[in-house]
Amino acid sequence: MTEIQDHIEKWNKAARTFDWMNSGVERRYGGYKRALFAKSRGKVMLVAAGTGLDFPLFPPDLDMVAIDFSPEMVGRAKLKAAQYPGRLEVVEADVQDLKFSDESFDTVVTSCTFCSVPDPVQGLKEIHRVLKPDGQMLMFEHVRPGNFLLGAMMDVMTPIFSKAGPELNRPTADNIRRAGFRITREFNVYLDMVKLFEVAK
Amino acid sequence: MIWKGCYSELLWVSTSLRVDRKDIFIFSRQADTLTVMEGNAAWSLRWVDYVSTLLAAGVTAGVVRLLIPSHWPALVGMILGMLLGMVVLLIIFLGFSLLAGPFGILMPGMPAAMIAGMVCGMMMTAQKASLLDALIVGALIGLGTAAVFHLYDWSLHGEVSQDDTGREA
Repeated sequence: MTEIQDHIEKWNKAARTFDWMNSGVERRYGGYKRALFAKSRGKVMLVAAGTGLDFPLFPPDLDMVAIDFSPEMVGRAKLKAAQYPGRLEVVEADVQDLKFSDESFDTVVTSCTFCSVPDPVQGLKEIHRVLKPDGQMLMFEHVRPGNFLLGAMMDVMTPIFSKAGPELNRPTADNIRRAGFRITREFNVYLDMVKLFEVAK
Repeated sequence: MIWKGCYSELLWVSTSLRVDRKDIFIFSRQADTLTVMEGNAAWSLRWVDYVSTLLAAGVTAGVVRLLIPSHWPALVGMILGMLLGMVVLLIIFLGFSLLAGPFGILMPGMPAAMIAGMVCGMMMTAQKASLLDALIVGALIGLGTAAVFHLYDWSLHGEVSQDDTGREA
């Protein structure tokens, strides 16, 4: 089994309990996400939509495509997409190898995505490719804390957590820049671990 | 920086005591908790961090008191106490993260459980303390750690300045 198939299988298994396991995050940080996602405009792509838990946090009447590489997640997300008051298509796709044409989206949104993408820089480069020159990326992500001790704690916990979920020690801000983006706004939600990013091409 | 944290924490405590009943999701039976909680969820759920961290450290101290005999070497007691703390944290983490998200539970809970395990492990091997003493020590470590993390969080919370190149200033 290839590495990507391992990841897909892991998230297929996680789909069954995904809504339940993420209920605390949605409850606590849903307001932050809703405020960030309200900045979505034009043609929007939601990356790693999971079971579609974040769909109600988007403003109505958007033209959206939601992608995820797990068929189980996509199946569940399609059911939630029917409730969205706008155009929302759910597609099975891997952010590391997008089938969309260059410069086809005005806004790309991620929500706890780049803690899970196997090759985050490759995924971000693909987003860079499909984003229009004046496009924006809105991100709610958890990252490796800057504090030495807390960062080391996350390094220790990551091998355990990543067996069934995300990695806790991704240097996402650096990855964003390595993919050729410019961070225009960075907001610490919890410590310097849970962050909002607004990113320009 | 620390004054900003202290001020914010005092503000949170005073506001929490007067928080509107409809804003406390745990008493709400409405289906869409996001709507109920929006805007102040991160704010009003901070008490869960205190409770979970207090429990992580307190229960760890109690378990260490019950399991580690006083004739063991201090180093073994400390290491075993720390490991027991991780097991206790894992159980508490699974329960409380469903309520208030994983980050505010894990970050203070991990050092609190480790420190409580180490301190109580050392206490048990140096002299046999009572269960009540162990629980009090654990609870104090938990409360103290949660408070330190909240102050640290308040000091970091908000906009991160960027210079012209988009790099963190």
